[in-house]
Order: sequence, then structure tokens, then C-alpha cells
Amino acid sequence: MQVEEYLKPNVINQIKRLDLRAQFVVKGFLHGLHASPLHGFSVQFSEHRRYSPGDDPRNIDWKAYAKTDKYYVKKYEAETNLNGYLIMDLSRSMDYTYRQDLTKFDYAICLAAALAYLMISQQDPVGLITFNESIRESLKPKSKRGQLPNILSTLANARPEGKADFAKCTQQIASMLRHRSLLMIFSDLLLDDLSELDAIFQLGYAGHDIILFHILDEAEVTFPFNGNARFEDPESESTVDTDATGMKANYLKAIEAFRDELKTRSQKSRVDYVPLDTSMQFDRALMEYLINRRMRS
Amino acid sequence: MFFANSLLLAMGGLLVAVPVVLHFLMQPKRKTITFPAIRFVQRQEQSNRRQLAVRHWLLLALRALVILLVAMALAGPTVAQGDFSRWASAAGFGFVTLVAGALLALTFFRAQANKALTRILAIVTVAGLLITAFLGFRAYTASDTTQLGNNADPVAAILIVDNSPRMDYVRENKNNRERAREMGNWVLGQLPIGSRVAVMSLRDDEPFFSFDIAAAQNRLDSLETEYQPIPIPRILERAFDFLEEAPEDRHEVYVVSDMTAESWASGGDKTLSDILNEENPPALFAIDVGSSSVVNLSIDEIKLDSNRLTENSILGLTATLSSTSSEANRTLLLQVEKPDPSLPVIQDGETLVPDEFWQFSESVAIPAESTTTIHMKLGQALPIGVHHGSVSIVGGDGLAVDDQRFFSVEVSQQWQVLVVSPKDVSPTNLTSILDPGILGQANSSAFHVSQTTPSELNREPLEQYVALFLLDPGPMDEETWSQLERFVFGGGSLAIFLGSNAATKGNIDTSFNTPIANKLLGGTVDDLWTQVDGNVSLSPSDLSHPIFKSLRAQENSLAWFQFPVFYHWGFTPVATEESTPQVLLRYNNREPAIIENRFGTGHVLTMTTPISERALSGQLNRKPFGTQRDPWNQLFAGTPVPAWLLMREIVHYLTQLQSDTLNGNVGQFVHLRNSLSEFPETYALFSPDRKRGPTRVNATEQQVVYKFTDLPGTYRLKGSRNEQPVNRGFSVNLPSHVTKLNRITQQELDELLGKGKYQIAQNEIEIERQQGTSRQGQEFYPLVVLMMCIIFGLEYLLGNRFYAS
Repeated sequence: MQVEEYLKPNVINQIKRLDLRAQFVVKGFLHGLHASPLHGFSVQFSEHRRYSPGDDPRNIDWKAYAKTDKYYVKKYEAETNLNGYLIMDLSRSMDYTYRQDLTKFDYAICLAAALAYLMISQQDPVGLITFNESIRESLKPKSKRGQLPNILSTLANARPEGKADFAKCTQQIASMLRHRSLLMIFSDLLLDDLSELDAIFQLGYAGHDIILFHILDEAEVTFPFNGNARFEDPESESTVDTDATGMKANYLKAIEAFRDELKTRSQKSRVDYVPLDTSMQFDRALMEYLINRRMRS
Repeated sequence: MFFANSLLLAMGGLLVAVPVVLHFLMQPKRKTITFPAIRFVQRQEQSNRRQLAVRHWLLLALRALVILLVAMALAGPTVAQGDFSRWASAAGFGFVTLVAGALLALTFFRAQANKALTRILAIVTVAGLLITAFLGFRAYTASDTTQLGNNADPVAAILIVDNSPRMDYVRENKNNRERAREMGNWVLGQLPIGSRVAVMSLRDDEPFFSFDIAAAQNRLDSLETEYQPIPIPRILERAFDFLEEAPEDRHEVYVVSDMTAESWASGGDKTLSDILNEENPPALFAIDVGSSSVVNLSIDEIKLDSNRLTENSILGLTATLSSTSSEANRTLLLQVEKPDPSLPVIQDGETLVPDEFWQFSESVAIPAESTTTIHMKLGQALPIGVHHGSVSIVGGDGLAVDDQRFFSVEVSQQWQVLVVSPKDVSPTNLTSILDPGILGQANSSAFHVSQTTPSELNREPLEQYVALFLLDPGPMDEETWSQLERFVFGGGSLAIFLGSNAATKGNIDTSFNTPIANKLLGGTVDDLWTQVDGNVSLSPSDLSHPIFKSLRAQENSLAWFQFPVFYHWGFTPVATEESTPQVLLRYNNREPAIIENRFGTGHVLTMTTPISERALSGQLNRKPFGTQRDPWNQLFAGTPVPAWLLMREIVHYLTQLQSDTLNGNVGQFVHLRNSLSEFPETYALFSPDRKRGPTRVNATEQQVVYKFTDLPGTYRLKGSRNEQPVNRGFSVNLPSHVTKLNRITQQELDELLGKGKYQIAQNEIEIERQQGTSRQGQEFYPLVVLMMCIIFGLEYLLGNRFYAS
């Protein structure tokens, strides 16, 4: 099997251990980058960067020059010393899949684990916060290698239930942040009122880097239903009887509008908005992270 | 509209309730789907709910309609063939309206309905409703009331077989009459068991039902060519009348014909189409056994220069020929039988006739689709007697009956006529008509003209003359009048042209008004009428009398006013027990000009102005009498065509030249003079059919009359007088129109019978199909099934959207 295959949710679903999942996803991603026009990224993920005029020649890594016949300078830790938080929505709606592959939650923790793996491997400090009505678990950001098993263990043990209270939990998270941080939020954002997200957008205004991974199920994006159907909300258990076929076009328009609104508001708040669905490969999310990190470096 | 199985339709109609019941009792279970993004569904649900309800009802309606259509298709809906297009268009429009209405309902309740589409569908639906209502009403009201039913039900049928001479046309070694017979036999064999059938031909007889099909076939096989065919439309009227009394539900009429225009000549009345438009008309099938490409040369007419020739004169005739297709060069053969007093005789059941001929042949080019005439002369003087002959096209063609024309001609001694005129009266006008040879014209005349004066009349043996002409006679004594009376009473013909000599002191001489004169003339001669302004002329009105025979064709072109009559005698016809005088011609002042009085066995023609007047030179001096008198008229001045034609016919009439019907048409009565002093009283008549034996014919009232001229050809009369054989006869031909093979067009047939009221077939398969269609009607089944499939498809599409897994 090609390493890139592990970027596919249906393939990664066959691997049960979360640490392996994360490892395979990242390896697949990096392998893909080597073969791609974005090859330069992979170099940047190492602990070196290309020498450029103005750099102190004393910092040139001569061992790297001996190996590559090119000049590289060692990066300083300060350059990457940004606390990263993986913020996971544990609401009941995240535990949904139509095709019985990966649930939105599975997809989210797989993605979070991969990012954690990537960050730890680059010695970036990374922490984890899970929440629904309130914050359930919290791990402070660390860059030690022992941090990864803790994060993975916490993610693996998390169970989605209840409703998410974004406003309340965001305030609690904000109080936990001491420095400028990178917040990576994983949620389906299925809220009764989008104003609940205002707190998140305010964090963006406050100078934190925020990547908003908006994860929807494939069925929530494509609405593959036909005929007469009764829809039931897993959180509120309310139902709607309707003609799914006649509904489809309008539904798709509504979802599109929902995403567009989130995107607009995110742009205004300097928040990176990444719309995902459970059928998409993981590389898109990882790429979004790398672009964000590059911009910071 | 008729349903083969109405019960099934009723049961099917009840089954429509099934989907309705199912709709309410068995609402389909909705599939429950857990869906976190339900809030987006909820926002759309409100508008979707109305649409859903409409779709449910629409689906229900479609399912009910499918069942109804299935039941309808199985019930076998049929309509009369003529109504099929009406019903089909009504159904088609109704169906389109239904679909448009359904789409409109769906579109109307959509949340984001396309207004333009909704508007178009609304217009289509409304227009469809109106058109469907109109077409449905029209189809219902105009429905053919033809009784439809089971194909095997007994019918009352009439088979009309065209047996006109046209059906003898031969193509592919078989004539159309044989084809008609075969087709007729096939039709008879196809009739349902228990049917009654009458076989009719174009003969003038009444229809009757045959005892059984075999008897009908026998009658069909025995039909022979009818040379006096009644047009098929007249036969159809009789057939329809006859069928009205038949108790069977279905009445069928089959006409087997070559579909020539002549066979279907209607005379322009609307009787047939009226009958076919009545309630429950008979089903009419026209079976075409003819061909659209025929080749036929024909001798349309032959015209003898004269029916009667004088001894040793030459026979001449003019033949008119035509061709239906391409130009043809053929030889025309003129034959005249050489007389054999011993013939005809019967030998071995067949009539023997002379088989030796005087002949003359000539090549002739017959132009395509046109006519040409040719004049032929025998070149052989014929002896005294009646001669029979024919003109024929050598080689023949598909239709033989018009390739030969027959004629008879009589050669006799000249007729003796006496012209009596005073010395001061010129008989030239009359004698030039009686004997053109006098003027150095033409060949020998049929008349031998004797002339005398009134004073010499007493010495003339009048009995030797057939006709006597008195030109402007003067006063006559009693003895002369008596002599004339005896002459006329004995069968003689007398013409008196009164003029100035009849006057005494300006008035009519009393000798013209004596009892015997009045008896002979048929009335009294009155005062002189004077009209010197030239406004009076002869003014024929009723031209039916034989003396106007030549004038009839030129009736409108004759300018009688150019030939004024200045003086004429008044005349008052007086009917008596012995005679009824008749005014044949009047002046335009309504006074009698020519009066006929039949008296005894002869007759008298009196003209009240003379025919012997000179042309006017200068002015009239108003002197009708005396040596310097005015001419009484200008009848023979200038170019006297009308008077000449009139006089010629008067001469022929008086001498009975045309009284013998030596040449006529099939079906005509034949009159032959038969004075017992000259001819035998009884004859044996041999018809052209040599297989027929002779029939006995007796002379009555000095003539032989024969009615049964049903075959074209030569009819021969054989008798004996004073132990000497007497052979006479006459010839009969078909009128040229009888053998015209032009086919009737579809449009003409539609006008005659009514469009859609009849069916044409050319072979057994077509007949069978049309019989089925006529008896059972045109099936609606395919159309209903098509509609059912479309509705079913719609139902499938709609149902799948509601209940898809």
C-alpha cells in the first residue's frame, strides 16, 4: 500500500490504534509533500532552514553542508515556540456518520492526533482541550515526546455526548491562555445560534492564531436522501417528516450559505476557516496547519 | 363509443377505489434518519409540506387513473371508424391537458416556482380543457350511430356486382367480371353463419334474399353482362331501401366494381349521402377490382351519311374514334354482309348469318386521350334491300365491346313526291331540298320529284305519291279538296303553303273555309295579318317536334329576326272528333305559322305564309296581292339557313324518311314501317346472341315495334310475303359513354357517399380488416395502452421520489 493511501479516511479507519493512525497520516502527508511542488515545506519542517544573505554565517550547519553541499542555518527554538491547543468538540452531534465509516468525531480525533504527532515531532508544544457543555479534559501544551501519548490517550478515551456550549467553554479556554497561542478547533458547529461563536472570533481579534476545522459528515454536505423520510436530531431528538428529494436542493443551498457565513465571519476575525467533511483526505487539514505555521515563521 | 366487455369496465371502475383505500389505510412508513443538521431541514420543511400533499393526491389520482385505463383497455373500447379521429383527438388533447394540469399543480405549490413556467402551464391547461371539451362534445354529437358488435353476429348483406360492359375489360388474361365474381364469392363465404344475403347486379330488377349462401353464389355465377347498366348509386338506393326492412342488427352492402366514373354516375342528387348520414346506416364496402392504368381504343360513334340509300348509291359513314392512353395506329375495317335470302337460319342450336362481306379498310391514327373522325366509303353499290354491316378496329384491345359498331342501311327505289305550284309561283326553294341534283349538287336524291299545276292536279294519280306539296295554291273546287282528303285519309302526307293566291279581293277565298277544307286543314283560315315594319318573324319555342330536329342543336344561334314575315294568313285551329290540330310553330306575334292536322292515317301541315317568295328589292309598297305585290316574307332571302333546315325536316317528316329506326342504341324501342301492302305481318326475329332462338314479332298499326334491344349487334327480321323471303332488320349499339373507363376519384366518391361513410378495399385482407373494423369498430386499445404506459411512468417517477429507500 502506498503511504499516501493513509490520507484517506476509509483506509485509516482500518487502523484501530490512534497513535498508528496519527503516524501513518503524517507519514503519508510528508511523503506526498516530497513528491509535490510544495517540496520546500518539508525542509522547513526540519530543524534547519536555507541560508539567506543577512544570516549570521556562524549559524551555518557545516554537517548539513557536508551532506547536501548546500548552506543551512540552524533554527532557533524561539522561532517555533508557539503553544498549540487542539480543542475538540465533544457534543453528541459529532458522533454521527451516515455511511458507517468514520464519524465526525473519529475524523476529528484522527486529524487532531496527526497534528499532535506532527507538532511534537517538530518539538512544538501542543496541548489538548475537550469540551461539550463545559471543558471536559485539558492538557497543557508541551513539546516533550511524552506529551503525544497523553494526548492520544485522552482523545481515545473521549466520548461525544450532550450539547456543546461554545460561548461558555470559549471563555474558559481564553482564561487558560497565557501567551499568544495557536488554537485548532475541531467541531461541526451545528449550533442553534451562531452568535455562540463570537467568543472564538474575539480570540482571533486578541491575536491568537485560530484554525477552525469545520467538520461535517459527508451526508450533511451531499444530502444523499430520497423519498419520504423522518429526520431526527441526535441531540434534541426533535423530528421532521419531509420529502427528502424535494428538499435536497434547498438543503444544499442552506448548507452552502451556512459555510459561506462562517467563512466570511472567520475572515473578518483573522480566523482560518477550513471546511471539511468526512470523505475528504486528511492532508488538506494538515496543509492548512503548515501554511499557518509558515506564515508565523 | 362501444365496449366489447362493459361488465369488465364496471368492475374495473370499482377497482379504482383500491388505491384510494390503500392510500388511507396503508400510508407508507417513513424511514427514520438520524441527522444532526436537522435545523437546515426544518427551515425548508414548511414550504415542502404543501408540495408533498399535492404530490400525494396527484400520485393517488395517477394510480386510480392507471387502474381505470387498465380496465378500459381490457373492456375493449371501440368506436366507429369514421369517428376514430374525433375521439382520438379528444382523448389526445384530454391527456395532454391532464399532464399539463398535474405539472401545473406541482409547479404551483413549489416554494420557488418558476412564474413563467407556471403561466405557460396554466395557459396550456386552460386551452387544453376548452379544446378537449369542444372535441369531446363534437365527437359525442357527431358519433356515427353504426351498430357495433360481435364479428360473428349474423348480418343482412347485399352484394352488388358491377356487370356493366366495362367489366369485360381484360387484363392479365382475366376480365374484371371474373375478378368481381371471384371476389363476390369470397365475400359470400366470409359472411357470418346465419347471415342473409341478396345478390344484385346493375340490371333493373328488385333485390331479394337468396335462400342460402349457396343460392347466392349460384346467382352470382349466373350474372351476365348488362348492356343497359343502372348506375350503382341507383342500385344502392334500392339496396338501402330493401335493407331497411331486414331485422338483423347489422346491415352490410358490398359493391364489387371497377370503380369507373360511369358506374358511379349519380346524377348529382344527395340521396345516398343522406341515407348514409341517417341513424344506423348500413356498412358500405366498395371493392375495387379495376385498374388505374387501362389501354382502350374505342369507336365512339358511327354516323351513316344516310339511313336510306337509293338504288346503286354508295354507302358512306363517319366514325369517331378515341384512345384512353397513348396514340395508336390501327386499321379500321368496314364490312357489309352480302345478302343471302336464305339466312338467317338455326343450325345445331346456333343462328347462321351471312359470312361473306363487302369490305373496305383504312389506317387511322388515334390520338392519345382525344378523339378523331374518319369518313369511309364502301366503294361498292348496294342492291335494294336492308343491309347489315359493322365497323371494327382490327386487332382489338382490352375491351372488345367498343371495338366494333354495327349499322343497318336500307337501299330502296326513290320516293315519289308531287310539287303543285301555280305558274307564277317558283318551286325552286322546295325542289332544291327534295332533289339536290336539280341544282347540280350531291349525288342522286332519295326522291323522285314530279311537278304540276293546280289545274292539272285532278288528273294526277295521287296514290302513287307519298307526299304532296301545294305551294301558294289558289282557290280550289270541292272536287279537288275531296281528292286531297282521300289522299291524306289513305296515309298520304300533304303540305300546304298559303300565300297571296289564296285571296280573293284581299280576303281569304271562301273555298279555303268550306267544311271539307276546314276538316282537312284542322281549322279556319282567317284574315290577313300585315306587319310591314319587319318585326314579325318565326319564333320556335317548343322544339320537341321532329320538324325541329336539325334546329335543336343550333337553337340559340339561329337569328330568325333576320328573316321577317310581312304578311301571313290568320288561322284558328278547330278540334273535331276526327282530328286534333296542333300548332307546331308560331310567329313572334303568337299567331300560328305551321299547323299539323292528323287525319285518317295521313297528316296535313299548313303554313300560313308561303315558301316561294322572291327576295325583297327596294321598299315595300304595301301591296300583298296583284302582279306588283310585295313578297310575303324573306324566309329564303340572304343565307336562309333556318328556313332551309326547317323545310328539309318538314320534307323528311312528311315522307317518313326517318321513321324507321334502323340504327339505335341498346334499350331503345325500334319502330319499322310495315305497310301490309308491302311487308309481311309476322317475322322471326334473330337477336345478336346466336345461341338464342328466334322470337316471333307481329306488325301492328302498320309498323313493327321491338322493345327488347338488350344486346348490341344486328337484329334480323325474317318473314315471307307471297312466298318470297323478306329480310329486314336493324342494328343496335352501346352509347359511347357506357364503355368509358375513366375511374372515379376519391373526392367524387366522398361527395357522392359522404366522407368516412364507406370503405374501399382492393383485396381480401383489406376487406377482412375493414369488415372487422366496421362490425366491431376501430379499437381504442392501443391508444388506451399508450396513455396507460405514460401515466404508469409518471406514477413510477412520482412514487419513487416519495418512497425511495
